[in-house]
Amino acid sequence: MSDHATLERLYREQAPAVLRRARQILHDEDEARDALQEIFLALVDRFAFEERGGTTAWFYMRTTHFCLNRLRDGKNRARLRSEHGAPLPTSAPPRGETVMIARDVLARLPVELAEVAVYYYCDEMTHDEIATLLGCSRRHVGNLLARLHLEPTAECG
Amino acid sequence: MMPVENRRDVCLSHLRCDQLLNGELGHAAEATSRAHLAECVGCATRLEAHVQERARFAVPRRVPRSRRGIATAMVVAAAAVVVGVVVLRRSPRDEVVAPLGDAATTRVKGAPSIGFYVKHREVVRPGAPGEIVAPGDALDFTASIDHPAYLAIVSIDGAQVASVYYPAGDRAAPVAPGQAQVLPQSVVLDDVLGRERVYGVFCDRALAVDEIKAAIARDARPPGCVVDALTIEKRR
Repeated sequence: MSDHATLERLYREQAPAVLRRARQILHDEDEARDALQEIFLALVDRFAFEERGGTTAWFYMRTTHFCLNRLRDGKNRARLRSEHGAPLPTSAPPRGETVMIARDVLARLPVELAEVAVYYYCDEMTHDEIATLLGCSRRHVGNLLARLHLEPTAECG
Repeated sequence: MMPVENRRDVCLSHLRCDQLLNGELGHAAEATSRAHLAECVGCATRLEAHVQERARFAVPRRVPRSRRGIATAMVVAAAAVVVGVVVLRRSPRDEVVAPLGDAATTRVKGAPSIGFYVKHREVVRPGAPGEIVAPGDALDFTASIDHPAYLAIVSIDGAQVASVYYPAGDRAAPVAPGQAQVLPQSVVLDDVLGRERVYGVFCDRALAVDEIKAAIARDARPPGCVVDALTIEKRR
């Protein structure tokens, strides 16, 4: 299959989840759509990617990293400081609901904790799934989640 | 009630749902997931939400214009100016459909189009141009159009035999305006292998499907109709 056809297939398979997750993390439709396009445009330039846990997992990680970086850039941070954040959920959310974590919370958390917060609260992944994506042990994931719950920002609101 | 952590360990995460739909789970993991889906309404609902999310997804991919493409276009334009005359010739096939390889990027914005999902061994995935499918796979077609019309879907298989995939009735079925609307019937693919062209024929009136099929079989566009096409490759 040509690169063009492969990209088309990847877009059909992965783009809905990329956009959904970008919306959850960024809370902004235009920024989420921009993230979607940027992630796929980057594939055109360098059509190869490491698959840790499979293609879908790779797109989950890429989307998470891209959006968290967006949240951390100076321009966004300045705006975020003036926004009021919603509380971070502290228990498993109702099934089928779209969960959003306050973007200012994510922007302030250490990178690794922000990543775990997204995987745990938004994607409702198991410890094993998170461990696979992060390339660490299940125990380390448990430690990160314990730290996440100790973060003052995790209890905000 | 099952404790939250226990439920998280057995229920399907969003990642697992996407992996299942993309056919990435191994046999054992897929079987486990399917067994759980059969008894967990919450997870079945979540998976269905993912399927619907894909069906409704209508954000086109931004395709960068390559430098080589720009250079080629400039050379062609310059040559046209030098010659002074440009003759455009369209083959009968060109009148019916755009070339498959360019279909995703050269479709006119707002033009009617078809898409599809493939169900292979209980796993549903979105179809793409040139999708590899297998005998026995089920196809669920989608239609996108911005005005009311009548639709028929006709296939020319690897043996050059024309078949009507949609609708089941004698005449093209009405289709309402909307993006990626899943049509209310599936097609199970037969054993004829090879490249297959699938034509979505959007008409301004309810033409007889036999008339539409006959026109497509002879590379003609039925009167009052707009045609979109895609290709699948059937292999064992």
